[in-house]
Amino acid sequence: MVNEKWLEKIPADGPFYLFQGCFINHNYPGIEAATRFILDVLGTKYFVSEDQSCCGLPEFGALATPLILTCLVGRNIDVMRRYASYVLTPCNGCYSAFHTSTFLMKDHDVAAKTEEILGKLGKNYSPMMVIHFADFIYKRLEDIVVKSVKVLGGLRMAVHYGCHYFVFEEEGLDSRENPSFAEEIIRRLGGTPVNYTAKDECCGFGMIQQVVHKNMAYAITEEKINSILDAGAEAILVICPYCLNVLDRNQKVLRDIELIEKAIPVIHISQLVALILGADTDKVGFETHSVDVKPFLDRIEERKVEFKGWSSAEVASSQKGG
Amino acid sequence: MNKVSVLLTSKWSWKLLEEAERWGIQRPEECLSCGACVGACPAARTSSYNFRKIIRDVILGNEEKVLSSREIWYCFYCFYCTSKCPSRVEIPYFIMRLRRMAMERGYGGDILRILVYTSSNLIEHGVSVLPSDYDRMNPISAEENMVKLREKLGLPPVMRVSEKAMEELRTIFEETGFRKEVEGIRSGKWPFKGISEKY
Repeated sequence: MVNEKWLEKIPADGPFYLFQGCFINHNYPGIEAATRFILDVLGTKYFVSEDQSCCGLPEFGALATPLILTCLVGRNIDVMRRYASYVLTPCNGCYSAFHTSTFLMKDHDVAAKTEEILGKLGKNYSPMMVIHFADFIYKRLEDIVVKSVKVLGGLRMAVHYGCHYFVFEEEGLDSRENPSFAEEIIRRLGGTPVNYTAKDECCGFGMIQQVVHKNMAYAITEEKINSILDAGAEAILVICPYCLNVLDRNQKVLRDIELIEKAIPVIHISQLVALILGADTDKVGFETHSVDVKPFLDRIEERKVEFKGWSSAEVASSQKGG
Repeated sequence: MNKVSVLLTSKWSWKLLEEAERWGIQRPEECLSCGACVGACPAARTSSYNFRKIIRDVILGNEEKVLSSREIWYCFYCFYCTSKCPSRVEIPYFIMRLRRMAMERGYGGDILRILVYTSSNLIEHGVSVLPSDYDRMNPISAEENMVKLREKLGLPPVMRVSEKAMEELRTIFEETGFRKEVEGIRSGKWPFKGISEKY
């Protein structure tokens, strides 16, 4: 069930600050290009700044040090607030960095020290509304359908939301129990969402396990991929670059040791929507993917009939009838 | 099991628990030992990690056993346990707190040395992941390819952080003690003791 309260809070037209994530920008730049392309097509104003730094979550994850996270988040918010009132990010890591920081600030010692350090920079700590880019896509889904020039020809896609999207219950469009908004996006773009048993499980990244205990990460990725393949999916849709990295790259190892039967392409939601809105296939950065995305690209078709999109009333009545 | 068995043995120890709870974590002693977390846990399926055993030792005050265990470094930080927990114990935050305490007492060095590269990147460039990290076996060609790809996509060559921002970041690295910690880990000067599987 989509969290209507959160949906209402999301401003349809910004302006937004587009958070620059180092994993996206430096390992999956196609996601950055696709995200900017979507915002441009929708005519949404957004800002970026070189005064912004990394979110700080990798350091918290590795060294478990709360102060570096709260201070970086506090400083970044101070920078971003100069440009806009809302932040957009297409990365679950950056998304959860802000909320984790809010949680850590509940500790009085951490809060006092953070304020003291930020005070030396002439800043103070005040949270800001951070919106996942997938939420924004759902918010503007009608516009995206109307402006779309391509359609997913019934492609069977499995969604992996990623754990850190769900950590903060009152925020985000869906809960971990039975999330459905990305499936709705796939359906409206002409694809067929596929349900599978390991849907709410981790991709295998495990914050540090993909780097430190690789055997554990591979075992979890294997469960996930096999569950998806068993359900008959032809592609995986993710909303997080880390999940993309792990689900995509671990497949090579798992295939080499014959733990999975075939490879399945993994696509980020920004890449999918950008392609549907008419982005060139070589402008969404598939070069950095390890699994061949051709089977996925082959299923994207031109929209043959000019399509104005359904009104929400029509959708509601068709759902009642069906 | 936890509450009852702890009361029966009268060995309840608040010290470690209180220290570990400092981040405002939902009370871990509310654990009913129902096992929902372990059933959901990816680390429990793939290693000897079992949060119920860890929380029991925390409550009993077996400090050295918990903090020198390799198990506290097995958590996936995926929060699947919390989503299944009837008491909503925020286990991953609690494990992070235990890792922090373990570090402060000199444990975990061999793991931290593998992980410290993102922190070094942050100190040097203001970002955690560099283009060269795409393929850490072939960093030079990885960087070249990534910069080329970004240009092809119409993006600036790298995500640059301004000198003004770096100045502020350096203040943060000093004031939080982060730079010192990272240098200690990198140089191996941090007085690290070995860890091993305890469960």
